[in-house]
Formats: sequence, structure tokens, C-alpha cells
Amino acid sequence: MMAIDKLKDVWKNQPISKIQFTETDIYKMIHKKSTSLVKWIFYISIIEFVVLILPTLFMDSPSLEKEFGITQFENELGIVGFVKIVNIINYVIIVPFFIYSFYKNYKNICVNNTSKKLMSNILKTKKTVSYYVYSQLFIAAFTLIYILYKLTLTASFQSHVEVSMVLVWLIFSVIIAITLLVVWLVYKLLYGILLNKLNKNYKELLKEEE
Amino acid sequence: MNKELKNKFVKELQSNQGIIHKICRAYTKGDAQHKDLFQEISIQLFNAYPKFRGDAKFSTWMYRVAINTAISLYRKSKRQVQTSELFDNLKELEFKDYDDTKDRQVAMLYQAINKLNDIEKALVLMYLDDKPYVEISDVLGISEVNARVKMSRAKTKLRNILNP
Repeated sequence: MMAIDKLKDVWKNQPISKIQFTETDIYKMIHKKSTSLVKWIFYISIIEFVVLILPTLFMDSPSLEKEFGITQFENELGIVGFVKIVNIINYVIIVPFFIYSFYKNYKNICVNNTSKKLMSNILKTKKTVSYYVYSQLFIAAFTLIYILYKLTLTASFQSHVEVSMVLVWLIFSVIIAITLLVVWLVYKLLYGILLNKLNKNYKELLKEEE
Repeated sequence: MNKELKNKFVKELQSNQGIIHKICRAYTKGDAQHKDLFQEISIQLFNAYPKFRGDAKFSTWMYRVAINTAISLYRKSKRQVQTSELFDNLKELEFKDYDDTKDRQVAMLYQAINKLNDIEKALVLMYLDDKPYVEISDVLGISEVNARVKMSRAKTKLRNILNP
């Protein structure tokens, strides 16, 4: 058996690394772009913010009237007004709140912190973006259901569609469920790959602490 | 960062690079990954340097940032060559007393450390570098008691790897 303490002698007397960098090498290095996990999370988050805002931009009232052929009469059902209110709440309160939280959490990520704090701040930043995604999905699903519900009430819909309402809602539900499932899977896969190591290390660090 | 401060940083990093090389060797496999992690640690150190107030020694602060980068921030890039097969032969090599050359002993120690998980690696590295528990717990952000429990397990694991 080898005494573990003897390893310290081996360690302390180890020859210097065969890889050595000059000051010029280091100068070049520090001007390269970081490829850290935090940079990845940052870029992906920006993409998520942008991508999820795009569909709602097209849900303004003129395009609704054009796309769905919503007439003045149908406007009275409250679809256009409803979408307007949802958009205002989204752009004035929800999106700015998430962008602010994201920015604040991102700024809190600091390598000078303890490992535990650093990891928890990274996970917190990622969580902010997840909540943002969930909020946008919820708003989209909610708006869609509301519009579809209002449309099914119109005379033109009822006179053209001859299937039962149960079937119509069933199809709507399946479409929404599949969309949510696909998004969830992509999300799990993306962050699963990205955060696998961090989550494992964070759990390992927290173990036995309770 | 002004030029003077940048020059000071580069000089300090260059003269203390040994610490980072040890961490890189423990956390990576092969020279390509080693250089890649070294670069990422250098970038992180450079970015955090303005916040380094000098209330700790440069080398102590560097240790913390390097460990944090290795554990939490570093992502292996695809271009690196996997050399893990080199490390699978470990059991065939016996850690005989101290008959072998220094290089060989050091190589074996690194091979064994490489088999530990990321947190255990950090603990063992700090143990081998004689860091006090108060500093270990401060770097990792866990209690001293927890650091001692984890360290004891990590050492046992290391011993078992070296003496199968």
C-alpha cells in the first residue's frame, strides 16, 4: 500500500510542464474569444429572446384582419382588442421584466466567486430564460385558444364546418400539445447537452451538505 | 484595461503559469485540450483581473479562477483529439515504490487524478498543493466540515485507483 501523504512529495517535485507559454503567447491568448459555457448560454438566450418575439410581432390587428378575414362584425367578438391587450402586457411588462432579470443574473456571473455561487448563478441565468420561454409559450397557447374559441362562435364558421365541436377542439388540443412537446424536447436536448457537466458538478458539490 | 495593467497581468500570469498547467493536466486529456483549457483560463483571468483587488495573493486568486473555469465554464471543443485510451492502461502499470523515474511517478499520479470526478480533482489538487481547509472551503463555497468529508472520500478513491 502506498501512503497518500507520499504523493505530496511526488507532486511537489514534479518537473515543470513540457507546455510553456511566453508572454507573447499569453498576449495573443487573452485576446481570443471565450468559448465558455456562459458565452454559449448568452448567445442561445439572445436567440431565444429574438425568436420568440417574432411570432407575436405578426399578431397585430391589421394582419389578423387580413389573415383570418376577420370582419368588423367579428371584431366585435373582441379578438382584435384581446390580442392588442395581450401584446401590450407582453411588451410592456413581461418581456422587459425577463430581459432585465436575465441581464442582472448574467452580470452576477463572476469567476471570482466561490464555485458553488458561480454554478448557482449560471443555473439561475439559464432558468430566467426558461421561464421566459414558458411565459411566451403560455401566452401564445392562451391567445390561440381564445381566438379559435371566438372563431367557432361566428356564423360563418358554423355554417362552413360540419364536424362536431368536440372533434374541432380535439384537433386544436393535439396540435397545441405536439407543438409544446417538440419545443420541450428541443429545449431539454439543447440544455441537456450544454449543462450536463455543470449540473453533475453542482449536485456533487451540494451532496452531504444538508 | 490600460496597457500598463495589461503588461503587469501578462507578466504575472507568465511567471505563475505552472499552477495553471497542473490544473490543465488534471482536467484534460492530451496536449490540445490542455492548451485549450489554458487559453480559456487565461481569458477568464484577464476578464476578471480588473476586479482583483490584491487582497489575496495573485497566485491564490489565480487558483480559484482556474478551478472555477475547469469545473464550471470549460467546454471541450470538438477539434481536440481524444487520448483516453492512454489512460485505460493505468491498471496494467503498477505503482511500485519509488524505483521509477520522477516523470513516470508524476504521470501515474496524473493518470489516477484524471479518473476522479471534477470536484474530487479540485479537492485532491488543493490537498497536494497543501492548501488549508479554510481556503479549500472558500474556493468551493462549501463548509469546512463538508470539505473534510469530501476530501477524505476523494483521498480514499485516489488510493484505491493507485493500489487496485
